[in-house]
Amino acid sequence: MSELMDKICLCIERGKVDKKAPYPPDMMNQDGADEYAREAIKAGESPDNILAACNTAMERIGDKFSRNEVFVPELLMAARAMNGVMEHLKPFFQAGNIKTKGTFVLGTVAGDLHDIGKNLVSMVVEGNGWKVVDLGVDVKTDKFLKAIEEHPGCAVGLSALLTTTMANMAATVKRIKELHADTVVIVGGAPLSHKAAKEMGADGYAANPQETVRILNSLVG
Amino acid sequence: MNPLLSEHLLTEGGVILDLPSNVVSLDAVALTRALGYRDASPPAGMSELISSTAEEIFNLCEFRAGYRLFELEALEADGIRIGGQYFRTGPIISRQLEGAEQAAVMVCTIGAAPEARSAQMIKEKEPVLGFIADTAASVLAEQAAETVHQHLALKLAAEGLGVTNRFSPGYCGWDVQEQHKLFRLLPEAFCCVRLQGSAFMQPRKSISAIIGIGKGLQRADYACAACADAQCTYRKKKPTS
Ligand code: B12
Repeated sequence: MSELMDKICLCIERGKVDKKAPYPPDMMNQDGADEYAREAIKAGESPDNILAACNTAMERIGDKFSRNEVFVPELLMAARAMNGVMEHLKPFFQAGNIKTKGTFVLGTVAGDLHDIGKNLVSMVVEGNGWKVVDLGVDVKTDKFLKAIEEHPGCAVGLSALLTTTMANMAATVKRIKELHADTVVIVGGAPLSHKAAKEMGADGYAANPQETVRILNSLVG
Repeated sequence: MNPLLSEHLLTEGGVILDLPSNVVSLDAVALTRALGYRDASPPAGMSELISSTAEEIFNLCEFRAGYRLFELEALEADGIRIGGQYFRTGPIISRQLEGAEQAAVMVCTIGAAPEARSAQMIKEKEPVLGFIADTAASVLAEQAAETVHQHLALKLAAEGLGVTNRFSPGYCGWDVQEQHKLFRLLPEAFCCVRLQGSAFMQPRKSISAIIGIGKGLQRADYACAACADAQCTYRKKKPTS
């Protein structure tokens, strides 16, 4: 990895968003992921390499998270820095020079208005190189089905907060599986568990954004 | 321990409490724990973000709380009857209500502004601040509930009565659907909290609970060993007073 790539990687891992960001204090007034990404593109670095550096950084912070060395706030700070780099890469994605890992359609199920967990998952998944289609809250089954048709090959994520809305989630999963048996469905939210996910016919359950990324990345090898 | 709060009797039944923000203080330790730092401390720089965001959220809170007292009409193995409604609380809760002569149904909220601010932070692509804001709001909602609980304990102690723990629909084996029955016992939009069809309260940072009242009752450890919910946050947590 070139020196610039190392810097991008370190800034993301440490959650150093840009020069003006006060966090982390030991990197105060230094360039951040934003500045280094701009510099790398200007220097003609290939977007693929930049993306690879981002992935390495997210893998590192993800591993630390799995080992309980860092916690959700640091994970989110890294995702925040990563999203800044992604902004610079947007034109390359749009031109088709680089590709996202896939599409993740995400929503909070019918009757449920709790969205903080879903939004955090969305940001971290996006930061890990996926295109996220966020359908919002109180999403009825039909809206999920429509999105699946619009994004062939997508994976779907459903979120719920209460056991009452978990019942709506089960109905949505069932319908998706009836019509699109091959679509991968991942569920999450406070009352969910591996057991509940299995019982409703979902393919996976994740307790946090990092596990969600792990499941999604395993789909693309 | 907080002083007694002022009470306002509603003609439709129930009591509204004066809950000025200076009686609810943000528990910084509870917040750091809720953010995920259980045995660790936040890294340098993060603590500052946590305290400044929490303060902003605290200043946005509009605390509202109230309760309504009912005679305990029946106490059975799997539930209780109050206000003509049978609540299937499950045995964990009904056992801990043994000895109660009355029950207080309480509701509290911190209002809608904190959750709106947190949503705005997320929208502005500041997930860390949004997460801290949301978590601080949750901790403050819990603390508002605790303040109400302490008020009742103090008020009733003067009458020679004790209180049990507080039990919320959705915890300890009590189906969250029973929120509908619980809200039927309270005036419309009590404390400005409304229940959605899916048993979801709005504002989101709101809590409902039942507290048993009777001679010789006291707050005890939650009966976690008897409960099958391995994921519950309050597992093994000791009551705060
Ligand atoms: C904080 C909290 C509160 C707060 C705030 C609630 C809120 N909605 O904002 C307060 C104190 C106000 C509260 C109140 C209540 N609560 Co509460 N609460 C919690 C607690 C401790 C954490 C929830 C939370 O906000 N976490 C932080 C966010 C960021 O996490 P999250 O949304 O879960 O999302 C993460 C993961 O789940 C995952 N994820 C989320 N979505 C998705 C989607 C996909 C696809 C994937 C892969 C992953 C994923 O990743 C996210 C990021 O890490 C949980 C228990 C727990 N440990 O989860 C109970 C819990 C959600 N509450 C519960 C209950 C019952 C209630 C009340 C009904 C109690 C009452 N009668 O008053 C009320 C309901 C409030 C309402 N508006 O109706 C139950 C719900 C289960 C049930 N029985 O229905 C829980 C599960 C506790 C329990 N019994 O174990 N609560």
